[in-house]
Amino acid sequence: MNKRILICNRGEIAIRIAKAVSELGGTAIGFYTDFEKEPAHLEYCQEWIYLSGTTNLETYLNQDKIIELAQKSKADAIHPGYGFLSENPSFADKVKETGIIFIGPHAQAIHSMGDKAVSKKIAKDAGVPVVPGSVGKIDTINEAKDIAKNIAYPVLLKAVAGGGGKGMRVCNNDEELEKFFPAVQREAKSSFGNPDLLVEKYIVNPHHIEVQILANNKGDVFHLYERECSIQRRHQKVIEEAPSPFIGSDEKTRQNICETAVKLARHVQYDSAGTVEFIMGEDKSFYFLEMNTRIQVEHPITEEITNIDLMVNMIKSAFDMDLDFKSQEDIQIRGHAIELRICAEDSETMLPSPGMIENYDYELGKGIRFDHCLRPNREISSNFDPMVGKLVARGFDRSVAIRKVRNALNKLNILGLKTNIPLLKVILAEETFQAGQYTTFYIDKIKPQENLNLNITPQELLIHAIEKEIGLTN
Amino acid sequence: MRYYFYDQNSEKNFVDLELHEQESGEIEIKFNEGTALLKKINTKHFISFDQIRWQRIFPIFGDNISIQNLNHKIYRGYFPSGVNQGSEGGLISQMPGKIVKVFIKPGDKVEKGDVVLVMEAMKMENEVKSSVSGKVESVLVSEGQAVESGQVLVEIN
Repeated sequence: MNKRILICNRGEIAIRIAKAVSELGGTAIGFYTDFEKEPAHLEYCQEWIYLSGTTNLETYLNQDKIIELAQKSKADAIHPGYGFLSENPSFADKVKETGIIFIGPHAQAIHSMGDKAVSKKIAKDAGVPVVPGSVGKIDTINEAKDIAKNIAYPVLLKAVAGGGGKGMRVCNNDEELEKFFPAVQREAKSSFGNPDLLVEKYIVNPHHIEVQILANNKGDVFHLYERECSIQRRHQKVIEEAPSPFIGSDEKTRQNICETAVKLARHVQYDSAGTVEFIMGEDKSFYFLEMNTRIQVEHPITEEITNIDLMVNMIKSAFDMDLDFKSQEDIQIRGHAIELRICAEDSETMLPSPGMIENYDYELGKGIRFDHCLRPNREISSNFDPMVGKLVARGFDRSVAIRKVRNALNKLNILGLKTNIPLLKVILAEETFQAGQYTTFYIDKIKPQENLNLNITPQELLIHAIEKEIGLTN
Repeated sequence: MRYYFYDQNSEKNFVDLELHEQESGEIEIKFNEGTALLKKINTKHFISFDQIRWQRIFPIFGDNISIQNLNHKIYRGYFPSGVNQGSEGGLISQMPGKIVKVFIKPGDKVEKGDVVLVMEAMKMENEVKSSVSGKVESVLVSEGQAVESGQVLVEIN
């Protein structure tokens, strides 16, 4: 493939893209900015371009500038990665107008899936289950009771304008609904200035399960099975697994959710890599949440269990090249994979903690992969995402994958910076996690952050003093 | 040599180490409770407290170290303290200011409590005293120089 691909991203994903481009025989073109003069991804790019500016708006979000530079560098395609301009339909459109290929789905798919209300409607039209509930606002308690009878208790009573857990109540029966209705209405009015309420099915012990899709222009839509991403903090994923331990050996449910995702992707004529996200209740009923029309952070675990390179095939799909496989039957699950997101963050508060990477070290081995952008003497600033790497382990089964990832985490040393490694260690050793019985409430309920080891031993101080000494004299 | 640890809650800690290079190339490290051995193999550093088990350690090139979810600043050989009370030590500046007077030069012997510098900060002159007795290794500032917070002023060994 003699193509030139401009990477409009930074960090570990820019490195991941550059490696895939290089493997295909193409030319990877990377940006450096005034803010980041020596980004790690340049080491993997064959050509470097200066993108002037010190803010994301001036650089990685600057659509016109990026397109201008893409034309100047004679790029055949643009890979947006994740975040930044990856799900911006106007950017995808503008790129296309110049005759440059946008490595992602067609703009209409980004547009229709990007709006939550629109995507929910499209999913419904495609015959994909969405969380059952009222269509629009409800005005009276009796109306709410009728709907609750239809969709069965428990139900969630929530403010139309709600968010952040405010103006929400779980009701288990008619009595509770009668009791909470006026209270939630008042709360909605005082918090959001809008007393309108919705009623929808409350998903008990929910799991976040998503299906990886890979499609092309010829109408082929494949699924690469599911991932479970229920371990989250601040509604962001921390640990992901493939396949889902909750679905486990229930092949019927697995097939059902994967085929449902394919159905939606076909409905929007999807033609790239993408992910359909679902919420699954304890009874294994599942409902559409949203579709991400880009490569996702956690794509490596799917690559590990299917042995299919998603990044390479996403690029191949964009250039109308044959994929590495021919049929759905070629895609099989082998073993189990776990990904840990390594972030510059405080393990206790789970908030970003920018700082300096003084040094780092890790150990690879059978089944271990570490996609990262760590560099010694590198500042992790608050301008970018705090994620610095993804530690991935694949094992014969889930218990082997856990063993491998725990060992790899013990061997991962990041000096200087505060990271979530202490928190990840607590989670990996915890029973509910080990049993694979966690839900999206895991961190709120189990509170692993309360079991951190906070004791600093004299020996640790001694070792760090020696490390400081050898750093000074080296 | 003393190594100071300042955590994010301004708690102080220190470790005293003496390093002796041996003929074998190994480095013996003496500390309060005993000795350890530092060995470099294939450019990697290992330390042992019992000369049986060896543990890999890593050079720290800057001042930052996070230990058990607490950020620390780590310094060698001088006592970083506030200068505004004219307190003991103060060989690393704790706030931006200007050096008014320097009383020492490399090679001088200083006693604990000796005034080594006068620094102006927040419109007040402050005497900066040494917290340790020893020999002045280097004086990194000169009279009239403006200094930042956290800047090393003098090294005393």
